[in-house]
Amino acid sequence: MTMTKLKLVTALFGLHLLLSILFAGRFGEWGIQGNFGNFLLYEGEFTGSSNIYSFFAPRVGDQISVLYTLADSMGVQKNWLLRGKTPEINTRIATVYNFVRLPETEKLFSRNLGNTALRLNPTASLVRVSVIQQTMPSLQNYKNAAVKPRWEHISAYDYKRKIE
Amino acid sequence: MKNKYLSRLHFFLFEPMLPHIFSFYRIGVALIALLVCGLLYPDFYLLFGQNGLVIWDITDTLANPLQPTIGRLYQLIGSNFQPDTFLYLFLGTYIGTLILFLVGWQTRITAFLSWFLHLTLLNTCRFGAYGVESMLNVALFYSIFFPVGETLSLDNKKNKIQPCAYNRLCIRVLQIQMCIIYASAGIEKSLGTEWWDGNAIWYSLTEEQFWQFNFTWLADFPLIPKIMGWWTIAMETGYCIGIWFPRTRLFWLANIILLHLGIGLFMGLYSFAAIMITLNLSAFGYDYFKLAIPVQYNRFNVAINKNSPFF
Repeated sequence: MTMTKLKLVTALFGLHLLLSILFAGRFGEWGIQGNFGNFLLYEGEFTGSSNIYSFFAPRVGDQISVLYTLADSMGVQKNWLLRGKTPEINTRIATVYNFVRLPETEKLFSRNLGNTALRLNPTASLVRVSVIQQTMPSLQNYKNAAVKPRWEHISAYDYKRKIE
Repeated sequence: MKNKYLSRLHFFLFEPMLPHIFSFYRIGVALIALLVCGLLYPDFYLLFGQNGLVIWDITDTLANPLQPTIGRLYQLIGSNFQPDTFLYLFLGTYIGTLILFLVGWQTRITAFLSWFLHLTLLNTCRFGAYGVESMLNVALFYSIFFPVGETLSLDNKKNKIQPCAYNRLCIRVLQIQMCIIYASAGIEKSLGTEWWDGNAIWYSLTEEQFWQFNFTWLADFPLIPKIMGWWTIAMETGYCIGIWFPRTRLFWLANIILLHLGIGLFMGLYSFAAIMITLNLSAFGYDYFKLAIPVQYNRFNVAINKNSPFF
């Protein structure tokens, strides 16, 4: 590789790393607009430079989960939890559940989860998607036995299977 | 004075080096991507299928218009198949490509395809994706440009491999990328109170989603999670300084690897731990890699510059 080509490649790598620094500083939330802004956002998403890397920061969030209550045509009810076959799958399911807590995606994702529950439980004709949140007491509160770990109800939506 | 700094910068970026560490990088990244496929395979349809946990319509509507997703790829080239068949054909292609990348056959092309197919998977399950997907995306993207097929690969037909400046540039890029990751993670952690008072460690170990062992006894010894929180902030924030000095490099590298082993073992995030350890060893394990396989280096009769301020 000639020195000129090497310097050109260095400049390109440099730009890519500069974008990584900017995106890590939440550049994507600065409201960049226009063609150039879009180009940078696409570059970030394709190359991975748009990652924020705020793993478990600034705080570890409460755990969101979903409890499904299924009812068949006879009215028999049962509670059901969606569990993957490996822990890796469960981690992804738990990540998807975080979007049921966001106001802008709450209804969309609840309906989608209701759909999944009905698909995986063919005998059920009704499903209640209950969003629940595990609140862990802080170290101090747990030690003083002032607060116990608990699951709190956040919201619930009912969906009925469409008969075709 | 200006020339002195320029020449140091030149030396830093372009001091010739051998490409062996990139074979470790390629093999590690490919194995982890294959491992993730294996771990997701039992519920692959649930995570990526047309009517899975997040249906294709939602994914495609919420993704940027140019981002590849399995749904969009299906519309483009797969409409002769059933969506489910196409999904598993996609998975088979991805696994096949990763295997070719692993053995280093047509490495540049298989690296590109692996990156593209991984990006497509990532976008399809972007609401369920966490750190391991993001890091694999970064790692596979760099694989397209890094000399990952120079050694221990089917592509390598050269008898003698020469040290070259481009290899050094690539390792510097990876090193700086790692510094960005840890600086960002460390600074963001330090902005909250949970990492300072020990509660972040407490929640990470006792929340149901991360629960591997019973750590509730930590409540009786609050100093332990507090010190662990400080240690995490110190290691991550200080990484971009401590890792560069030969005297502190091993200490920092060992501590960061320990941190990720802890994340894997005590929080169950094994694949994330594996990719971070692989990237760290690839970026800064070069010196120790040289010590581990001196025969290989001696065979090529490479004079290692022990006076180098960086290596």
